[in-house]
Amino acid sequence: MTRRIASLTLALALAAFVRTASAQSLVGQIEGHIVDEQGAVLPGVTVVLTGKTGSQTQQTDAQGAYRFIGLNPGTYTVKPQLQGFAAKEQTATVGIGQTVDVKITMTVGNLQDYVSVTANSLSVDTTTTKTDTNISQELLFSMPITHANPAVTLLNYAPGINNSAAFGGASSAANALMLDGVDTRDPEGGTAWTFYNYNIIDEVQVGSLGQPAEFGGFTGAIINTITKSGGNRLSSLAEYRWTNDSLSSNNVSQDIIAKNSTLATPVQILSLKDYTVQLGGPLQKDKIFYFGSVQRYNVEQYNPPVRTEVSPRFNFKLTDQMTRDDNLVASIQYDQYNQTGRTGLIPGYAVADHLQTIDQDSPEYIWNLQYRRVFGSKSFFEAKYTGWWGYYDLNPVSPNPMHFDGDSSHYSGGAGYTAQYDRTRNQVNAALSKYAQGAGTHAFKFGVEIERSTIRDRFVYSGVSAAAPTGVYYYDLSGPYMAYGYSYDLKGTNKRESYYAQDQWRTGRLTANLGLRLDNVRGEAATTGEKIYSTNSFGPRLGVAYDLTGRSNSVLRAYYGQLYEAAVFSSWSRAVPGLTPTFSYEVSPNGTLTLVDSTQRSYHVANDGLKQPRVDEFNFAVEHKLSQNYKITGTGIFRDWKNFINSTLDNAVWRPVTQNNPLTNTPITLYRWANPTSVPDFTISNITQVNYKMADGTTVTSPEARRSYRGMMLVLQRSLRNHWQAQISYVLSKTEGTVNNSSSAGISSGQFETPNNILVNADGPTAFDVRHELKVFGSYQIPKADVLASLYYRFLSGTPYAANARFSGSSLGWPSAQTINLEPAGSRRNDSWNNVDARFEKLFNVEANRFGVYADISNLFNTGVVTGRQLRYPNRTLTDPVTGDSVVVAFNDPLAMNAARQLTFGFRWSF
Amino acid sequence: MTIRYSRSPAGFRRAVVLALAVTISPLPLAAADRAPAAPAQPLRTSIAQHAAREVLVGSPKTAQRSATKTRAQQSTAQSSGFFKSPAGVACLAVIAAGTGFALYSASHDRIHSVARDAQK
Repeated sequence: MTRRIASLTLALALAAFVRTASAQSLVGQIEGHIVDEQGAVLPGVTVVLTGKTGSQTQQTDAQGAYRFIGLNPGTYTVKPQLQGFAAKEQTATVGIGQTVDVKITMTVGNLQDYVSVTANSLSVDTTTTKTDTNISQELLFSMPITHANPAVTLLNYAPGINNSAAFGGASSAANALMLDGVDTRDPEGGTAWTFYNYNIIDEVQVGSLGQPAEFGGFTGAIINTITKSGGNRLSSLAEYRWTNDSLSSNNVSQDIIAKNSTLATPVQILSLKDYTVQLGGPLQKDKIFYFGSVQRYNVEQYNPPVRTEVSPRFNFKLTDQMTRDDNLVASIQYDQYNQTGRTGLIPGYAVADHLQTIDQDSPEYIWNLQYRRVFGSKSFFEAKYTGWWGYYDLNPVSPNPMHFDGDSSHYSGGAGYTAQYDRTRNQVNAALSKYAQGAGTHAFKFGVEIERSTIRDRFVYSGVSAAAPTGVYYYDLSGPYMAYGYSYDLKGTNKRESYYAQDQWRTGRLTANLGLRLDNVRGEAATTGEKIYSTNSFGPRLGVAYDLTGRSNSVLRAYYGQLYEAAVFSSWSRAVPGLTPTFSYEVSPNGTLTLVDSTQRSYHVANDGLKQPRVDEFNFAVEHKLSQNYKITGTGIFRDWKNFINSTLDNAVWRPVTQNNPLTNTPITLYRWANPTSVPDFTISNITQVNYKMADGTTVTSPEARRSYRGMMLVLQRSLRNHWQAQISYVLSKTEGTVNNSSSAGISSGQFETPNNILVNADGPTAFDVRHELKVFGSYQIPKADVLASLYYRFLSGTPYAANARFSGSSLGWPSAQTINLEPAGSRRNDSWNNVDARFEKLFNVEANRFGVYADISNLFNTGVVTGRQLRYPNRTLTDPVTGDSVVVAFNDPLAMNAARQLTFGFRWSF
Repeated sequence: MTIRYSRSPAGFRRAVVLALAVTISPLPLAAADRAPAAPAQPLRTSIAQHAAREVLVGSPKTAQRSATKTRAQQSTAQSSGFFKSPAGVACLAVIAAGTGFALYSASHDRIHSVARDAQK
């Protein structure tokens, strides 16, 4: 019997709702009910779930319900079968940590009758309090995204995240970058360490607000990247991307050049040759699968100076579906990162040739072993052993020490130093997820994480000799020609154990997402075994979601959570032995060094009872499905940071001194160290306020150490229909305080060591405060031509800055000069930034092969935006890298520009 | 203040013309399948499925014919003899070339750390 069913009727009969399974992290689930046309449940229906690695079967229970748990992200077909009813097959896509609710209405007929339906995935999750952005592989394929560092690039595409600063969090260091469950960040400072091939990404989830207890170690955002795996179907990809300087434009105006001639050459890619080849498939059908990927990424760019990167990358993954319920995955990546043209002591704008640059050798391995066991439809267990090993060595091309001539502002010699940074990171995770019923339904998850990371940092100046055992750099400034040197060899171990318990408790239209996370973080000096750093943190995560209409199309959410930073060596590395003294030499006309001073660099001492830095987050949101294809979300966000780790100089006494503020030509009060000592006592502690003792016996109390974020976010989504889809987001926000949101300000800086950087013009908007953010992404499939056009538009308000000046160390009684704000922090704003990136791709198919030819255009309208200004008042002398001439750049004049328009071609073949 | 400055070198203009020419020219369509689990369908439909989801319904007879046709096409790519076919040979050749050059690059382009070598 032929059955023709109107699409509208079927659309009403079949409903696939996507929601977040907060009990699951990297895996998802498909669940639902099977009913007949009268709405009566159908028990005993055989439900066959088929994915890329085979099929599994369940039968509906007495309530007509079924559930498949522990599913890898991907596309599945759900096929219920029952004698007397027409067979149906529905396709559903499961994203990272998602639950797809597939309810199927079966109609009377023969099993030979067949209906295929693909469900609309735009839906409202009425159970979660998370704000996640899931990006599927298909969407990644069409987005005009920079491939250089995929994790960081994708992070910055999400609403509320710019310059890797997420909702007021520290730029770069506060975001968890997860690759198949592996935290790939540098255990020293939390910044990105490992890079990977964009084409190995299967799916990406950017999580920012409202995160459950299973996620920790970040106060910004978390990005979960799942890599591709093999399946029953052979699949392959070959892609080649190419550009050069003839395909880039010039966005630097004559006006800019007149103010700063060092910017005459635009920021551009001079050459890009990037290819990937991949193959995946079965070694044994339904049981063992492989996936392999090889990439060679070769880019040469001017930023300045000219840097060249050559990175061959190799990935291999093996999946063993041991039994119906047991799954084992093993993968390994090798990335050999080679870079030339990196800068050392000589700033990029002053580098004359490659002899003044640094070569970088930084290979790494990443490994991952995961086991999952599913117990029926109610429980599953996961265990993972993940980690990576790597180093980056910086070797100067020229072994000569660096010289700086203060009269001419010229640099000469070599890059000036050799540095070696060694890292390992090992982590074991185990988690049990369980679904239960009792006063509603529960999705419990209990887990433990054990991390061990090792860090070794070595540094030495060039020109090591018997007279200068740490090497030197030369500084010639109107007086004796001086040379300085020191070196260090610091070794530490991070140890962390984390435990969490969470529950997604649903009763009727109300869902409570409750969780608690416990972190014990310790830091030990590797040479002595001494425990230097130890914190215990308890982080509650409390959220509620209420289905406003009962029809799963509108939800009200509220969330409160305490999120703690990761274990980072930089918070306590200053307390680790391994620093040599600082040596000062006078340089005679014949180059002989005469030691004039040797100051033992004191070790900081870390306070007992330290607390891990954290952010307290409260947010509330309303999400509403406007129609079949439109959804809107509004979120109010309140975030406040606590437990900043900084250092203070105990027992110091200060004397106010009046100096001239050159910006306003008025007096400014600074503070001079009144009782200097060659062995100062620095203490690492949590800073709230500092009481500075004055020489006259009084006390001056600093402002409170604080940073806050207040924001409102609106997101409008349109799913694909009539050939186009789009997302528009607008964020209005304010990030301000006395502690900046640069990468290290809140976890390892010395801001509070002297009063000058906290008492003088320190309070105001932070460095990455973007007041207005508008992001628009859209794609359109041009009919008949079969061309996919994608555009990504961003408007960002300019970031704040303030005029500063350097006051000599001698005038302040301090070992080195200090840079101090001459006006309140954030008094001025950089230019706003409008940018459009585009991709045009022509797709065509030959049998089972799919070919694509595309063109990516970054900065489509070639806008020239000043992204940084010269902050030193009244001016600063740079060196023109082309002519070698001194260039005086006045305060507020341009110092950095955005990249010019660049056209990149790509070709890919896949099946 | 946003500064706009545009200059389009000849190379860029030629490249844009080439890109537009390639993208505008329609080419013959054939059944295709990129989604790992869904059967191959006409290109327009497969594009619609790839980026997001729309509800599609066809008659069972049409669906069966389509399924039979696409299963035959799938078997071409999925059979054990695939790598002996011209497409399979080409696939292996590309993969071998890419892997070989990457291995060569790993050796030839390697920057050896002078400092680390001296420590050995």
